[in-house]
Amino acid sequence: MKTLLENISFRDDALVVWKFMIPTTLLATDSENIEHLFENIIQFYDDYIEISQIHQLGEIIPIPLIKKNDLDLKLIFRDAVTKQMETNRSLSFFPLSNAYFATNGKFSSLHPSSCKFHLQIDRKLCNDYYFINRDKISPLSKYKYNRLPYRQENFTIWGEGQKIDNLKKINIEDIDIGFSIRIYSEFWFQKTFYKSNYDYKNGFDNSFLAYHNTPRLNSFLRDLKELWIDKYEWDFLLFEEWHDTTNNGILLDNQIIYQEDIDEGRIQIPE
Amino acid sequence: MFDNGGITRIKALFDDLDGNEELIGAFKGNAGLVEAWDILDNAGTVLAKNPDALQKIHFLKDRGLTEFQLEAIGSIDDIRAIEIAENIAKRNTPSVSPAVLSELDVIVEFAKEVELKFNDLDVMDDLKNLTFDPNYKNPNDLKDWLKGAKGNDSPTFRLELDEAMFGLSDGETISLGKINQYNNELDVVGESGQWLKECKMINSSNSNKFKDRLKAIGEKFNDNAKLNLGDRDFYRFNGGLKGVLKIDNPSNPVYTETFAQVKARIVNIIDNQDSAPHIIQGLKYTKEITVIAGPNRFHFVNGIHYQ
Repeated sequence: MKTLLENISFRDDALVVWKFMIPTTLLATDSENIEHLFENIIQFYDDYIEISQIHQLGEIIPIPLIKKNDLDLKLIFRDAVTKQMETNRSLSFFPLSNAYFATNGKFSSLHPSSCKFHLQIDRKLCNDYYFINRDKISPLSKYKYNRLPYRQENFTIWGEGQKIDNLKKINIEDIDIGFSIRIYSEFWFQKTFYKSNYDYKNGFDNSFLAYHNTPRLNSFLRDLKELWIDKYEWDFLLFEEWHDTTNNGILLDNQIIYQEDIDEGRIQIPE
Repeated sequence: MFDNGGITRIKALFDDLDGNEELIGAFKGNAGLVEAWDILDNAGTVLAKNPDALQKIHFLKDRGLTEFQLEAIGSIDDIRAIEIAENIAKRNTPSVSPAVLSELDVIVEFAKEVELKFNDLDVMDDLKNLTFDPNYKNPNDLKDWLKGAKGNDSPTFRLELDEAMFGLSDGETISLGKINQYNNELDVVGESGQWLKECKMINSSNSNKFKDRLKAIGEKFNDNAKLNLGDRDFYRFNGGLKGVLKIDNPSNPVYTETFAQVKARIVNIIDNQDSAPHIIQGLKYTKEITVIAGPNRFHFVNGIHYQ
């Protein structure tokens, strides 16, 4: 029997946290190093926007959202972030973003089961508003994802950053620059547990929803990790884990399944 | 009641009565107690020989609990389980709903499971006191709260329970594990003082967990999905939003830190606007942050120690 969305619950504390962090060894405060990191972070956003749009997770969406003009999201985000980091003299990830669903209903139904960043452009800082055609920045998916009710918000990204001047003052171990992906909901897991007295092993079967959505999350994580570790040579770790969770994502029937496995027919979605 | 194997049951009753003057005295003129004895004896508990337990089971039966429920409560083999059930069933303000009565056996079974899971904590004793206290407000939510505690790997519930008991001892009217109409979990609510406490436990030795958990409090107070903004503002503009962090791992550096050192950590986190700004904003909404580490209980007040 398919799990009903009404039976999907989430909790206040993240069940799983995947942390993408810049190694503290790179935070030596010589100006050349900092300059290099600054440029890399700006560059990273371009890559991130691409990956998040492919997988439709953690997307950066400017607000207000008005379907009027086409603008280059990478360009405006890069511009805004650069201004923000320069003004604050900081190294930070997603400093302009607000990692939760807006209360505005217009946003909550666009791409269910993925929290979108709402790029909150500060009027004073940027002196204008950006308008964008939402349809242009997000490729339409072949899949019809089940609409996730607003209450089941389940996926957030926390950006972490620090002022450059503070790098000298704060204990190096306490400096976090990077971001973390956090899952709060049983939506992504093969078994639900809240309605089964928290007994995960004997939880209700949530295979249908999980097979429709979790491979996309796993592919998103895989691509982000490749980028983070291989291209930028930064650190990745699984900070908090729940049942059936690994560094590579969430297990379905004891294996990591990617969206491509579904798309290319290697794995069948259970009826 | 003794229609099947009646002689054997009567023998068993006499065996229990043998030499037990207290029990014989209790049974005199009280047929209901014999019925209670039958239930507890069937449950296989020595409490069948305990006049107090029999009285309480008799009372619970009068309140409409089924024999099946009472046997389940008895089979926990812990007088406190019966006492907790009795406390809940006796509550008047607000009176417990029939739904709660029909789940009393499940509630006390959960309570026992939680105690067994965290056997170094006297959960049953505290729950007994909690359910007895007239200022404890929401016994109807107790099952869900215990269910969460049962399934939670970290004993945050213990901190919530402590904070609830702390509030009760202050004369505050307390709700524990309250679920609002938006299905948000409110850890501990001071109903008369109109404050809300969000509790986080740190079991790890990693000092970064302090930062992470403090931010989780900020997120709770500035995320409509986790706490409806209407409720958030109600508490914020009345008794206040309060954060409580407890570190119970002595290897965590924060465990042994002084007031000034912990304060510096909090200030560093709140001053860092480059890190998750909406979360930092949530922390700025707090009226106070309490950090419990070892024997220390530090209070940091917004406007004095941080802002």
